[in-house]
Amino acid sequence: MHRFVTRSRGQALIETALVLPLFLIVMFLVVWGLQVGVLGERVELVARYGGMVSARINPYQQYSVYAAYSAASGAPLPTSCVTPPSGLVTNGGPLAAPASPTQPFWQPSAGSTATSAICGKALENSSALSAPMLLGRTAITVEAANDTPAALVGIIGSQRRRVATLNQFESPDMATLIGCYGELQAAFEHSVDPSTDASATTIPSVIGAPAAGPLSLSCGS
Amino acid sequence: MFLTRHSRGQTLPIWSMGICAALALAFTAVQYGEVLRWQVRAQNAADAAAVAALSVQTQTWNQQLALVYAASVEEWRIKNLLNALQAAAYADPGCTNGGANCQAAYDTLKQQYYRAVQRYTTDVQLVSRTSQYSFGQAVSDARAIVAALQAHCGESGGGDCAFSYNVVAVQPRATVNDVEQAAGIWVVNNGTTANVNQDFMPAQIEIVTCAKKAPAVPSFLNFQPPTFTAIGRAAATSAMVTQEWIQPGTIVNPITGSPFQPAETLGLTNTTATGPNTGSSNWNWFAIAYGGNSAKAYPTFDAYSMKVTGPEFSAATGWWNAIPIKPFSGALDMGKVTCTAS
Repeated sequence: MHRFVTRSRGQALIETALVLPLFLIVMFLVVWGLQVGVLGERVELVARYGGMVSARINPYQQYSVYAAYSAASGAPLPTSCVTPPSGLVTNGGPLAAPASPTQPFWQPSAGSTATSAICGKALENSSALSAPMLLGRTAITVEAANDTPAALVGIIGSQRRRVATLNQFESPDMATLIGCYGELQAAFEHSVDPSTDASATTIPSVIGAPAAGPLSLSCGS
Repeated sequence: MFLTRHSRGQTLPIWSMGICAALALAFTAVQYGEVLRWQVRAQNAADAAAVAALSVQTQTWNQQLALVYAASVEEWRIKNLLNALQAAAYADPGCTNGGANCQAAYDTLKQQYYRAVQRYTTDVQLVSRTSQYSFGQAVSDARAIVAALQAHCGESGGGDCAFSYNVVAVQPRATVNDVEQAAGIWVVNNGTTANVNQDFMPAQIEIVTCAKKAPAVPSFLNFQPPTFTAIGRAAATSAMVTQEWIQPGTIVNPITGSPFQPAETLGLTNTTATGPNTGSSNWNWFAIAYGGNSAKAYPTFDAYSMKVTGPEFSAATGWWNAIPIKPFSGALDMGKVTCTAS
């Protein structure tokens, strides 16, 4: 018995030395899991708020008599298209965070954040629609990455990239509407600027019956 | 004493329990992060779909408003042309210009009048076409748009393929504001709620996106976590997002540097200003001015007042877009919600 006790002396140290690295790796996994989880949620939120802001950054430029005049005269106002600031991922963007900036522990890897927005229109021509319709569209992409703890690089790679994509929609702006409905464009332009009306002069006929049917779409997506 | 002697120095069981606890923590962290991410993604998909669905109603109304504006410009032109025709027919001093040219002015004005009426007819017929869009069509189209987002998911104009899109309700918005003139100023919600024909009622829609997601870590120490359900619930309504009151005859277009709607001489070169004194200048029957009067804002009332000093063409317009609102259908009945399984 005495010999047994003697031989087991120091065993705790050996066991600890053997297991501690494994324990630390698992703890790094916890840290990494938390960071990746938070970043995954945050890129989705940036896509969400970036998309909402992009769609409504300048409603007067999108929907106004001014926009209609400009579009009808062939010089449409540019479609508002705002890329979500990459600082939103780190809480340092122009949209102020309610609290102080995110602590370094939760920040993505330096230089890993990228955002983009592509604005345009989408044509929906499903047979279930009463007529082909346009949608204003902003395709938002937000991505960022976490560095993997060195102890885990061999297992799960050096970085974990999180990407959020979102198609945000809105009512097409006046430039799109007037540019895509030829009848609307011609009628508006000729009425506000009669010099553009090159049609022959005839004695107007009486309206027999109110016209029906949607305006014809004259552009693609 | 026997146990103590045997267990002296043995920390392996404690370390094992610690590692198991840490693994459980790691599993929970990864799993919770995934749940949060998918919840936000589901909400994003629902919000985008709700707004897209009502964009059909709003764009039809924006078409109609643009055409009504064009028709109103034409109406003002026709009104002035009729005045000018009458003045020329009676040899108004403004067109005699020495006594010989009122007939020529009359003929020119008649041609202009015909053309204006032609354009006005076109405008009115197009207004007719866009104004026949019924609320029933808006409901049907909203559902069709949501179905199209699902069908074309993953494409440039589609939705998120990870989710099932469910239309919970499409209905007229419960309340609309009353806008009226009181004591010379425009006031919002000053009287009874507007009674609007249902075909011109703003719609509201509620959408649920749903997906059953497998856990990020399928199993852990014989524990198999269940799939979790990511649900996005969003609503939107058609709303007038910009409102304008514009005097296009005086307000300058920043692109052209001229008023949006500059004065028109109607091709007449042999006329001079004449007619009644409007208080600011002599009125020329043979030109079309879109005019303007002084207006004053009352920020404390959210209202405007205007003193009329002369003829004026002004327009109050409102342009529509779909905007997010709070879901309105009450408790969600998950029995009616389809969830994508993955």
